[in-house]
Amino acid sequence: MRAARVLVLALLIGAPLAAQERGVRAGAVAYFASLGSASQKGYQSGTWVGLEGQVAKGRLALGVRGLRGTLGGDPVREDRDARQTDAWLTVRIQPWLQIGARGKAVAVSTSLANSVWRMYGAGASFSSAIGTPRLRGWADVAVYPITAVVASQNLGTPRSAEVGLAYRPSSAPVEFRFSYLLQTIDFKGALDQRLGGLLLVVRSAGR
Amino acid sequence: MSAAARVFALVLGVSALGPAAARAQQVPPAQAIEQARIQLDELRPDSALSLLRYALDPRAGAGVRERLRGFTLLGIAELVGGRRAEARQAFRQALALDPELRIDSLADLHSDLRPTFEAERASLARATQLAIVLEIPSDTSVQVLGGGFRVTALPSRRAMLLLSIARPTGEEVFADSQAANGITSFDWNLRGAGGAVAPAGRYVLRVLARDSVGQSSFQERTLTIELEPLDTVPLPPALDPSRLAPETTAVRQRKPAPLLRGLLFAAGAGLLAYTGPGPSGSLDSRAWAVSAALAAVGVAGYLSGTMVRLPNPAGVERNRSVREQDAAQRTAITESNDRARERARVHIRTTTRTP
Repeated sequence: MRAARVLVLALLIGAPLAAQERGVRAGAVAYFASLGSASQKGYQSGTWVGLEGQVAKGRLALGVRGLRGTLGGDPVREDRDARQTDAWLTVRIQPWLQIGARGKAVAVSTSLANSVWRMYGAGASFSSAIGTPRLRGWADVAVYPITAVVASQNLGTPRSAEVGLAYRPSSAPVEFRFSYLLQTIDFKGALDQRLGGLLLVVRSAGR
Repeated sequence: MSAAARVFALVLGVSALGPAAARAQQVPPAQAIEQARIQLDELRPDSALSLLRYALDPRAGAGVRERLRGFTLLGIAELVGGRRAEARQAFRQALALDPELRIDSLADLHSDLRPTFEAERASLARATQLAIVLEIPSDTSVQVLGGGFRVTALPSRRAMLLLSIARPTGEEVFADSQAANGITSFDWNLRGAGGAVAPAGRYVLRVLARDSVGQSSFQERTLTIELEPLDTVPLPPALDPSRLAPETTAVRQRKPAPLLRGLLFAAGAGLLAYTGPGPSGSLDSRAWAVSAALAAVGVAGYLSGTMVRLPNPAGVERNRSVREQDAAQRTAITESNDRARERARVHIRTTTRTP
């Protein structure tokens, strides 16, 4: 229910933003996240919500996304509050290809500790229309070789991948995105965490 | 004896013997008049009077020019003899023959000649008003192309005639003027100043005459112009698009690219399902949902394809034929109507204008 309320709120915020200048995009994000590990049993999930915005000029685009939520439901682990911030600066090489620099910060808080992971790297996005220009599929991959950790184990090389579908209705300057986002965070102590889930975005349909 | 003395003696002689004797002697009136002129130069008005009365006797057979000169000299002779009333009577008869008569060359014969003569002219002009007689067909039909409407005017004396044809509102459509000394005709080509045929309706025709002494007179008529019905055919309405065949054909084209792209993205989402954080290490079904959606959209995109329009040569050819037939029909009707318009006539009725 909380997710639904936040999504409605985000739509109310995103719709006016959708009417803004074409070079500016803004929207609401809901992330139905799950955190698990290939090497450990246990599974936590929760709903994160937030906002994203992007400014584009020519081939360049600068964007940021903020998410906040919880992870819980594992009887052997304490529930956590989580925040995630993503930032990107991309350049469009081809109509179907964008590459650029990425930055990501993940903060996880429990009653015992607050851990912050900061990651910097590069990524590429591929997109293409599928049958009709209003429906596009896209994939995004990124690696973060530069990391900084506060109050937690050092990281290996985090990676993220996202594949999804975007739809622009003809009746409104809005874009709906439906994707699966997987973030793999390897710790040098061999503990790997996989944060994945459905990502729903409603944003203005700018350039 | 000089020739003048012989003529004078002869005239006196035949006068005494009576008209029959004068005609028998065959003295030409012109010769008698010239002798009278000489008698006036020699200040013998009575002799001149005798010669002029002989010449102006209807039985002498003098022509108009001779009578004109004879009455002029008769008036001068009477004036020289001190008989002013008789002089003016003679001048009046001369002016009746030619209202524009001038006596400048004879002015030396008597100091009062010019004022007396002009006084008589003015008196005569006052007595006889300038008048115009119009001759206009009361009901006629005139061909528009090349035809004309003729107005004939006859002023009672020499005058300048001004013809105007105007709408009742005062808008003039035709005007002309001529110096007239008899029957004078004006021809109106039924067109206004812009060259267009005057539209049907009522018009006021006015002929104004103005003579050299400033007298004027006018006549007005009402012209009612009606266009006689033309045997024309209306052009058909514009070509109905429903009569035209499609010049292109919509064809649905299915290309495998959307399907392949959709399946490729679906495969990528499927790969994520294997590495996603499923419960207890199982597959993450949510990634499969995304994968299935991408695959379905790819299949739907392939099946729906894209509509492209390809040329339809048969339709183009058929439409060309239809358009040519339509153009030919329009041309034939237009030419037929043009011919009918060339034969068009207007009906003009003339009535006396009532203010």
